[in-house]
Amino acid sequence: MFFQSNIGNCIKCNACTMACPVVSIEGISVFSGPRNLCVDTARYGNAAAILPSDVYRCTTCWKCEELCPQSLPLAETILELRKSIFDFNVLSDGHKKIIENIDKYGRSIVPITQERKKYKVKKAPLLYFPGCISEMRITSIFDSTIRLLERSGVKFGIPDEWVCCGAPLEKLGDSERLEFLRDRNLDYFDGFEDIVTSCPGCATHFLKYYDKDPLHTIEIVWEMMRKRKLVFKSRKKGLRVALHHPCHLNRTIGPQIIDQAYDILQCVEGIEIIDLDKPDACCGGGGAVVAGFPELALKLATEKMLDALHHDVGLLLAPCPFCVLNLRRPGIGKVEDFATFIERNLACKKEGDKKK
Amino acid sequence: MFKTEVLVIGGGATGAGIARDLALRGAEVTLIEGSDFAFGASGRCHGMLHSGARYAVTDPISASECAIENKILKRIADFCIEDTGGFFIGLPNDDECYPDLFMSACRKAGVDAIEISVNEAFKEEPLLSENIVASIDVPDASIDPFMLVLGNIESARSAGSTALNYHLVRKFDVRESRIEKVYVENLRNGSIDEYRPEIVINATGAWANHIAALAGVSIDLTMDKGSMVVLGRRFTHRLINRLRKPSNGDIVVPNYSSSIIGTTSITVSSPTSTSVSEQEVDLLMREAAMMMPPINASRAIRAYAGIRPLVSRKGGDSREISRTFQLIDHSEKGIENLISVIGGKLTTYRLMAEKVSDIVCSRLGISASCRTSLEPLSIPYGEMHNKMIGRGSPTVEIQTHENNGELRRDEVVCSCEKIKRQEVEFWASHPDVRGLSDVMRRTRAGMGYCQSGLCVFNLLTMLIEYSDTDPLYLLTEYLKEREKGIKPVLLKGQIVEEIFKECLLNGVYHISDLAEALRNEENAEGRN
Ligand SMILES: Cc1cc2nc3c(=O)[nH]c(=O)nc-3n(C[C@H](O)[C@H](O)[C@H](O)COP(=O)(O)OP(=O)(O)OC[C@H]3O[C@@H](n4cnc5c(N)ncnc54)[C@H](O)[C@@H]3O)c2cc1C
Ligand code: SF4
Ligand code: SF4
Repeated sequence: MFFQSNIGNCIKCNACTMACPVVSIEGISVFSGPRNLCVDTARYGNAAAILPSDVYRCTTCWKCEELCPQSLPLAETILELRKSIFDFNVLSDGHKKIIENIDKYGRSIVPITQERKKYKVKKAPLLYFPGCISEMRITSIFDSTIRLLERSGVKFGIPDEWVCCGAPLEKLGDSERLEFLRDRNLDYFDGFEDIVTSCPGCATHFLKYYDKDPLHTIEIVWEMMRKRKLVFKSRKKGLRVALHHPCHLNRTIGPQIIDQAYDILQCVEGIEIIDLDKPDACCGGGGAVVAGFPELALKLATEKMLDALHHDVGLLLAPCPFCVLNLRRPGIGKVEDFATFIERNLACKKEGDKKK
Repeated sequence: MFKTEVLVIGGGATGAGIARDLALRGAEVTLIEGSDFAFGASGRCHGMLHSGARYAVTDPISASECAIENKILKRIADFCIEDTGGFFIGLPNDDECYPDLFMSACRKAGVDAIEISVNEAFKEEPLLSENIVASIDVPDASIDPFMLVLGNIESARSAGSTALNYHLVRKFDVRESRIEKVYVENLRNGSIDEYRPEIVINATGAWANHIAALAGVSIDLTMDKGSMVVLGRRFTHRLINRLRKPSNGDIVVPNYSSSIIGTTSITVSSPTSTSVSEQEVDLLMREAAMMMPPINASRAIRAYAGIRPLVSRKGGDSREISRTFQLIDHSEKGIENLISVIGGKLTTYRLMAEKVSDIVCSRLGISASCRTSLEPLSIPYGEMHNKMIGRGSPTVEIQTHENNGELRRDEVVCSCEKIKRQEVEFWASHPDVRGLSDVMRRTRAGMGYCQSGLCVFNLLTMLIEYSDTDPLYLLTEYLKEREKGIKPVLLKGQIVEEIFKECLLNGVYHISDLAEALRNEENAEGRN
């Protein structure tokens, strides 16, 4: 019996389904959409009737939940649905790989670079949690963030050991492993006060499951910029830059971080900030869709990149490792992580340069 | 002038069952229904296929009848039964002696009741109240009464009899203690047909007295209204009953996507007094929430009521009157060829039909014996059946064709209830169907939580292909009918939906303006 008590007040306005990016790509016959999945499944109360190929297509972009006039917890319910069918052994090979990796390496991906010991400490006021992708795939995010934090003068460290935050497991519906990872991390996190992370996925997860109030790198950069600890150099050519609004920043940990990102960009001289048609449209990088339905993720990323191309954007910034990774997959246009871009545009500062 | 051996009046479960039984025995039968099939108590019942347990203590005869018929119906009508099983649960302040009384009464009546531990009950139905102190497992089931009646109609027709809906019996010609002629108005075109039956069966339920009066005899009937509330979701797999003497609000029946709480018991004066008050809704939800607390915070989408015709025993609470049916042979009072059959339950309709048919056959000199307990009912949507298994569950959309290894859905026209286009199409073109309510009764399209707000245009578009009636008229009549059931539950969570629908229907589509314009036009034509 699947029971979600607060989903019964749907008025069937269909705002959710109309706005769902996956419905718009796949059509209602393949992905039946948030209302059908959440509201109706709860009505019939039959977890066995949930189609995995349906419920695992959702990117957890939270768009439906944002729009629902009845404030129904739609995206949250999709995660609940996944939980309720997890035990039926319904995962695709891509999904299973994530779990395998976590069991083997403590990371959601296969490590391909050396672990960097340098910043590992046992105690610090601020914990930098890079997340799996920044550490092992798009390592520039890791490097830039370290430099940004150093330049900001904050006292930080990376815990001696850490494991994947568990966000991908939440997306798969694996609640048991998720708790296991959380407990391990909470042990490692002992000795740190605040957490900052490069990944909105990790941040959302810390907020929901670790009872922490995590920061995203942008928040620290913004703070430090206001304190004039970070100053930008001016660029020669007018680079056309656009900002992608990652769903898990914009709709789960808070839209104010997007505003801060624009504040920061405004201070970088010599760039032109371009508005996309749909800056907050999901890029397809979330919800474990890349692993489960790579073609769907690719299509969503392509739409986003075409939006950028259409506006003749020279560089698309995405403050999220998952988004960067997925947005690069279509191979159209340049995509960079926000922190990396900011770090590369810092004006030289006396002490700050030593590390370079 | 039509001749027929038997004329059955009333197209509820009883009438349809009789028509089928007689037809299978080779009698020439015409069934006349004044509205749509299952329009009366049959379509307004609780949808519970009794195991007999509910009546075991208070009405043992009914209980054992139900126990037998329950098994038969599960065999012959499985297409319209969801074999959910049922629990009887006891709460802390309920009579402590009742469970023992109940168990021994069930044993005596032949009801398979099994006591199970409270923990086990919880494991099976996690939404039950934490306070339950006793739980008993019984073979109750959920039944779709519309499909049951239509299945009987279909069987009767395929065995050669005629069944007409929207044909109202208006008048009898009584001569020498016999009904010579029956005048039937065809409501589709207003024409009057005459029938010359040898025997007339009055199976009009709460209207029985009205029909008897046409022949100049009378039946002492009490009319007992029972109200029900439909909640927009299921809470359990099983039917949940309160383990106590039958009372208000002690049954919750899972019905496709919804749950139906029932019932109340109020004596009324007319077979059409089916409006439900907000107090009744309150009472039902309060009582049911004691068994299942989430009901408190759940949304009610509709309320409706049915009338139980009870043959009077003077005085007393109407719930005390036996539910077992009455056969009244009016020859004693002066009409030789009229038999009335009243009461009973949906669950025992077949048995009632068998008893009536036995008498009719002996009068007609037919020696064939009853076959209705052996032969499965015809499925009303015939060859469509395979495509419709599992209707009313999200799986229906899913059990479709493979496409590149992916399952795809068929087009659904009523998304609350997951009703497919083919199904509505089939019924919209069916000669029995006149209005949108008829489509709804047959498909469930429009019964969901939006209460037809959105699918109504889909349904209408399909229906007008086959109907000469003005679409606007069909639409407004239907919505008016729907409104009646929504009003009593507005404050139980339906109001936001209704405001949204109002904006859509009248703010965007201007339905009421258009309807008024249509009325004015008609009035103007009338004056010319
Ligand atoms: C509130 C309620 C809940 C119930 N719940 C259950 C339950 O859960 N399980 C169960 O087994 N039983 C239940 N019952 C009992 C069951 O519904 C009835 O016993 C059964 O439906 C009676 O069927 P019927 O055919 O005798 O009467 P009806 O279904 O009322 O049929 C009578 C028909 O006669 C037609 N008619 C009337 N006048 C004329 C005329 N002049 N010409 C032509 N046609 C005419 C009417 O339109 C109507 O369709 C319930 C009853 C009520 C009232
Ligand atoms: S969270 Fe996003 S992808 Fe998932 S159902 Fe809602 S709108 Fe669609
Ligand atoms: S947006 Fe909310 S109210 Fe509207 S259809 Fe979706 S779930 Fe229902």
